[in-house]
Amino acid sequence: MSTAYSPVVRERETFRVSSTTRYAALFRHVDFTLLFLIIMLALAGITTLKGAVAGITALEPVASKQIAFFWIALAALAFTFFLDYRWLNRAALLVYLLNICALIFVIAKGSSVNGARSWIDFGPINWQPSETMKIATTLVGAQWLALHPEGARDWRGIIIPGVICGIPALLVLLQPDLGTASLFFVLCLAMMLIGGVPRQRIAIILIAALVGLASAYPFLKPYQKNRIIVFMNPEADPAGAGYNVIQSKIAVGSGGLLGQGWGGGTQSTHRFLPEHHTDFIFASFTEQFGFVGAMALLAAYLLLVWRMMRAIEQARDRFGSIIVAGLAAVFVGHVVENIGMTMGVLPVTGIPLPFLSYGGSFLITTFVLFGIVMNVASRRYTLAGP
Amino acid sequence: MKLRKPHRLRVVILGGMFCGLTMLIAGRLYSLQQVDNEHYVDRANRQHVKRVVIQPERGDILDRNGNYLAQSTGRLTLYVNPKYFAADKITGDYDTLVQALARDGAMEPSVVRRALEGKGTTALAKRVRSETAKGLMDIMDSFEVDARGFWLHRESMRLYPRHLAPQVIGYCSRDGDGDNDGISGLELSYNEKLKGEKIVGSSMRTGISETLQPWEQGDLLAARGKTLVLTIDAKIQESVEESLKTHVEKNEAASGGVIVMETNTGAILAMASYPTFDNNKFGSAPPEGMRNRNLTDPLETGSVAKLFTAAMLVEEGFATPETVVDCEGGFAIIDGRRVKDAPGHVLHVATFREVLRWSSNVGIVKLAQVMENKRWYQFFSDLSIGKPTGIDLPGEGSGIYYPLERWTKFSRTSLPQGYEMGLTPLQITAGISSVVNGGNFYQPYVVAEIRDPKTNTTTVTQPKVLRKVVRPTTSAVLRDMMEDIVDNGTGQKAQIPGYRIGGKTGTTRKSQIFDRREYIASFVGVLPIQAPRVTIYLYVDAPKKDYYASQVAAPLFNEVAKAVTVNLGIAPTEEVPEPEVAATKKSSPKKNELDMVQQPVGEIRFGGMPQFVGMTMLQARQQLPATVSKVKFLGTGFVNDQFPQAGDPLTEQTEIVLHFSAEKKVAQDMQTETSRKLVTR
Repeated sequence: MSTAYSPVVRERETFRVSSTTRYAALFRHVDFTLLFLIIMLALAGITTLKGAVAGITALEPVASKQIAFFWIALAALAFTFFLDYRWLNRAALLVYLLNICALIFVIAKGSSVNGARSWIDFGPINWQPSETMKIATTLVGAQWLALHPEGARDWRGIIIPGVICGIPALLVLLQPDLGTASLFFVLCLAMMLIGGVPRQRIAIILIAALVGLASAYPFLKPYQKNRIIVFMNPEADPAGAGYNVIQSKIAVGSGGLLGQGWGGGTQSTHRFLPEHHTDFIFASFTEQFGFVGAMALLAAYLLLVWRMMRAIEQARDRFGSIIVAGLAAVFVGHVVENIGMTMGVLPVTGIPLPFLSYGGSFLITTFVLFGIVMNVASRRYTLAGP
Repeated sequence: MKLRKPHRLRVVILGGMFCGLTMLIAGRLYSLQQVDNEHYVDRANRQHVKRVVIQPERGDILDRNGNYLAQSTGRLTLYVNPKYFAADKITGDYDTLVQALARDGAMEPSVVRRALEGKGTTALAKRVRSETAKGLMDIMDSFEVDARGFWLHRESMRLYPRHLAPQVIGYCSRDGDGDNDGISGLELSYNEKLKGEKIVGSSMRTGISETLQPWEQGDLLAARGKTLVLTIDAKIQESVEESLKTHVEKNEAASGGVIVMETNTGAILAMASYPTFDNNKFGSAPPEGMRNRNLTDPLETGSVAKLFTAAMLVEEGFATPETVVDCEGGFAIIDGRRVKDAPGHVLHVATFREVLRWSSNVGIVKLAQVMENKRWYQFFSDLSIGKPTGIDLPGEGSGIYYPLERWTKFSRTSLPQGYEMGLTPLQITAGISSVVNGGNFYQPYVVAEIRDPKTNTTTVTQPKVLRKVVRPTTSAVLRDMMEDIVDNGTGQKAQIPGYRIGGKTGTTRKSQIFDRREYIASFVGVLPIQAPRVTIYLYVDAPKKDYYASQVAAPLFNEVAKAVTVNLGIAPTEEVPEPEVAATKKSSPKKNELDMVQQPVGEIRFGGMPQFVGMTMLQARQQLPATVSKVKFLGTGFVNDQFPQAGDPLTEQTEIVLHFSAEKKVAQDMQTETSRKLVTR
C-alpha cells in the first residue's frame, strides 16, 4: 500500500486538534446546497417513479422499494462523508483489485440481465461490480495522479491512468456493456485533465478515439453494423431493435411544454415504453412533466456539476480535486448517455439516470459518489476532518 | 513532492464541457418536445387510442296508440380476458370460481374453462339477460378478478311482440356485436334513425396488447336509437290480417292484400299482405311471404280503374253522371277491339252513373274515346300511375304504365277499363283517395313520429300534398257515383247498415296467363263517403271458387270496414251531417233507361252536338236528341263523318248530317284539326 507516501497523512500529522473541534469544522463546511440538491433530486426521482408505474399493478411496489433504498443510500452517504477521503486511498487499491476480481467472476458466472452478465447474486442483495468499479477506479487513478504530478506531464501521465481505467473498461466490455466501458474513458480523460496531463495530449486522445471508432466501422460484424444502422435510423426496424428508441422518442416528444401531469404519461402507464422505470425513466419523466420539467431537471444536474467544479477548485489537495473530477465525469457521463439514449442521439446502452432510475444499488452508488464529493468539499480547510 | 492545486482553466474546461453536453441535450429536448411535439403526440395517440364504437340499442317501433310492434331487448355478452383469470391472479380457488360461474351462467364447467383458459379475449356468456351478466360479474368480483379481465357488451335482440305487419316493419340482421342493420321494411328504410348515432369513444390500448376498460358501461346501457311511431293501428292491422287470411284461404286464392289509408292525409292505418311470415323467425320464413305485395306487385287493376277514367271525364267536362251512352247490350267493337261487359246486368243505353254502377266496359270505353291522348296520359300520371307514390317504405314499385309514345291503338280501349296498365295496391289506394278527398294527392306514409330519446324531441310527419288531381266538384260527383255503386250496383255486398259507403269492384282476368283462367278480385271503398275518412283497397289474387269481386272482395271489404269503424270510432252516417253530396244526390233522382233516351237537347253536354262518329245507325238514332227535327243519313255502316262536329252548338233548327261508311273511324280523331281537315276533303 502506498500509505507511507501519502501527502495527506503527513499533513494530518502536522495539525492535531481536538476531535470535537474537527467535527464542528466539518459540519460548518458541509456543502448544504449540494446535500439539498441531492435529496430533492432523489425525492423527485421517487415521485417520477411513482408516476411512471401508476396503474401497473406489477410495478407498483417499486416506488416503495425505492423509498427504502433512499434511506439506505442516505446512510451510505453519511458514512462516506464521515470517512476522511484521505483515508480512502489506503483502501482504494484493495477495493479496486477486489472489484477487478468480481468483474472477472461476473463475466464467468454472473447473473444475466438483458443479455449482459453484470450481476453477482447474493440472494436478497444483488451486486453489480461495474458500479462500485467506477468509484474504485476513480480513487486509484486520482491517487496516482495526485502523487505523481511530474509523471502526469510525461508519457506516464497517459499510460498509467490509461491502464488503471483500461483494465475495468475492457472487462466491462466483455460483459458486454459498452456504455459503462465508455464511462471509464470519460472518467480517465477528466482525471487526466485535472491531474495535470497536458491539454493537447488529452485533445489528441479524444480525437484519436473518435477517428478510431469511425474507422472501425468497416471491420464490424454485420449484426454490429445493424445495431449502428438502427441507432442512426430506429424506424428501420420499429418492431425490433428500434422499438425502444421509437417509443422513448414518442414519450419525450409527446410530453410537450408541460407534460401530461404526474402519473399521466400514456407511454409509460400503457407500457409502450420499455424499461420505463429504469433505463428509460427520463422519457417517462418528460412525458409527465414536459419540457419545463426536463429543463428544471437539467438545471438541477447543472447545479450539481457547478458544486462539483467548485469542490475541485476548493479542494484541499490534488487528490481531492482529481477524485471529484473523476466522479463528476462519471455523473455527467451517466446523465448524458442516458438522456442521449432516451432521445435517440446515442446508442441504447443501459446506463441508468442518476436519482431517477429505479434500482437500489445504483441509487446507493450515486449517494456514495456524492458522499465522497461532499467529503472532499467539506474538508477544504486544513482544520477540517477527523 | 509538490502539491499543486489544479489550474483554474482546466476546471473551467471540464465544467464547460459538461455544460456544453447539457446544452446539447437541452437543444435536442427542445427540438423533440417543442418543434416536433405534434408529430409525437399524434404518434402516441395513434398507438394508444383504440377507437371504440358503441352502437346504441335499436329504437322501438310503436303503432299509433303506443303498442309495441318492434322492440329491442338488451342482451349482454360478457367477455373475459383469460390473462386475469390465472390461478395466481385471483383470490380463492380457481376451480371454485369455475364451478360458481358454470352454475350461475347455466353453462358446462368445461365451457367456462375453455373461455378462461383460452389464448385471447372470448365471450364467456353470450346474449344473456342483464341479471345473469351481473351475477357472473359479482362472482368474479368476489374472487377479486382484475376489473380489466371482464367487461360487458350489449347485443340487441330484436323482437316483434305482436307479429303484426311483418312486411311493413321488416326485420334486421343479428350481428354479433349488436350492430343490427335493417334488411327490409321500415327496419331498412329507417335504419339509420333506429340505429341511432354511434357513440364513438376511445379506449386505451397498452404496449403489451391489452385493452383497458373499453368504455363506460353506463353509456352503453343508456344509449338508444330513435323510436318510430307509426300511423298503423295495431288493432285494425290485426283484424285486417285475420280477415285477409280467412278470405284468401276460404277462396283458395294465391295471395291477397289490404291497405287502409286515411283519405285526407295519406297515413297508412293498416297494410297487410298474405301469404305472410313471422319476422321473429325470418331465417326460416318462406320468401313469398316476405314481400310487401302492396308496394311491389303491379296488378291488372281492372274495373277499379274505371273510377280514374270517370274522374278524368268528369274533371275534363266530358261527362256528368247523367251523360248517356249506348252500352250495346254488353258487347261492342270499338276501334277494332272487342269490348265485352261481364255477364249479369245487361245495359243498353245507359247513363254514366249506370255504367259505373254495373261496371260496363263498353260504356266506359265509349265515353273515354272523347279524351285526347296527351291530356289522358297526364291525368293518369298525376294519379301516380306509373310512378312510385314515394311512401317511406323500401322497395316500392312504379307499376306498369306505358309512356305516351308506346300507346297503341288498343290503349284507348284498354286503359279506361283498367287493362294495359298495372298499379300497385298502394297506387290504387292513394289514387282513389285523391279522387274522393277533393283532389289532393297525398304522399302515403307509415311513420307518424320519430322520437329522439337523446334530445327528447319528437318529429311529427306532416301530410304532404304532392299534386292537385281534380277539382272538389269532380270529387263530389265521384263520391256520389261510388256510393251509388255500393247502394245499387256491384258493390252491394260491401254495405254496412247505418254507414254510407262508396266503392268500386274490380274483377280482372289475368291476361298474362293463357292456359288457365285466373282472376283478381278487388274492391276499393271509401267511408264514410259523404265526408271521407278512410280509403280501403283490397284484392284477392286467383280465387279458385268464385272470382267476381262482388262475391270475393266485397265481403272482405265489409269485414275490414267494420273493424275500421269500430276502432276509429266512426259513427253511423245518420248522425253525420252531409253537405254538398247530399244535395247532388237529391237533385239527381234515379232515372230509368227510357228517361235517359228522352233527354232534352239542352241537357246534352259540350254545348250541343254529340259525338256520333263510330256509331252504328241504330246507335246514332238513339243518341239523337229528340228535339232535333232535320237529320240526314248518308251511306251505311258506321258513322264516318258528322255535321255539325261534336261539341258544336246545336239548336232545334240545326240540320244534322251523318255520313256512314263500312270502315269504323276513331272518334277522337275528329277532335284534332288535322283529321277534321281530312274528313272535310
